[in-house]
Amino acid sequence: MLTGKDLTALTDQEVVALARGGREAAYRELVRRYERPVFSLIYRMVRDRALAEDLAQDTFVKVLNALDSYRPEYKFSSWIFKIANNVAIDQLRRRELDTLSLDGAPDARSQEEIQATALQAADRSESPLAELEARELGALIEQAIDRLRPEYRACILLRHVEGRSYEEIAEALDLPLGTVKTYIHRARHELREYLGPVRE
Amino acid sequence: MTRKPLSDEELDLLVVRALSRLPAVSPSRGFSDRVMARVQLPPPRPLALIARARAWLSEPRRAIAFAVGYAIAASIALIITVPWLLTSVPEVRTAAQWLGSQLAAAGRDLVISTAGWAVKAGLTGALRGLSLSDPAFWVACFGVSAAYTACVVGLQRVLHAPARRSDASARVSA
Repeated sequence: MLTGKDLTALTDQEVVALARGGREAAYRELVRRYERPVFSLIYRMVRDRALAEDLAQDTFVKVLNALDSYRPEYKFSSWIFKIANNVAIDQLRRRELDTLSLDGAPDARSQEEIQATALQAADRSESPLAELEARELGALIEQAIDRLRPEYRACILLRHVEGRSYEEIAEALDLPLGTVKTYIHRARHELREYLGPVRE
Repeated sequence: MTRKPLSDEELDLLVVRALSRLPAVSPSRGFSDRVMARVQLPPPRPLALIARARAWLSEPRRAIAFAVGYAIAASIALIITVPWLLTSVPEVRTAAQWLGSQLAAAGRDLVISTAGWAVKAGLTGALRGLSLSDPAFWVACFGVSAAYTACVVGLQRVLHAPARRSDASARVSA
């Protein structure tokens, strides 16, 4: 019998095959593998921690309850990001979002929560000055991402935060490859324009 | 804070670097448990197949068609294979002849011993005296038939009782 430890060595496709056979451990392994990237993507799209948790849960429930419809010739990561992006975009269409305070999530009450939800980009190996600069830059870039169109935001997050290939992003977002490249190019241009005056 | 202006390439590098340094954000503790509580796990594959086969066969027409088809297929297989085996394989033919003679001898012994027991018990006289116009004979026949039918109906109810109960409870919970 396969344990959770053994499952970590398997590919996504192999874990999905086990999950389709009714193995609960395989379901948990899929959640373990994708909870952080999916949650990060949704959180940066909607900017509300509680809402992002609900949407991430919805994403996983949709994915895991529809495993039979997953086609193994596609990457599992593309499939799950596609559903996560659709869930986030639907939510964004439904309501206007408040701007997130860079010091922490709007729903954070205690100091601990504020620290935990604050958007940080500090590299711990840097000097205090560099750390301050990196933190400042991280906060600025989060603010700049927030101003992008949702389509650009999804593309830029998948490409530069999650490190996905252009092909995978095209598959995940149901967009032509050329459109993905254009969106990323435009998104970077907009980010540059936003950061340029600030950095001078 | 005053810095020298950055070129487009430098600014682009800065943007990409800043993006790649953004940390992954984790959901709160117990996230996977909350997800799993909402996920419907499929039953293990062999159980699912058995359940589907049983559901398919639960319709009487299908069950009858399946039983008839199975009986025909088995009969055809026997009609083809048994004569072929008997004629083609000498060991099988010898074994079948031996088995046939043993069964015939056993049957003969059973008939002789039953006949001897009937004579000793005086049943022959009773059978000879049995009259088809006697109402007691027909009452006995009816009683035996009724008892047999009651046994069949009772057995069927006993065998189907759990399924009916689970159907009813499923309707209640729905």
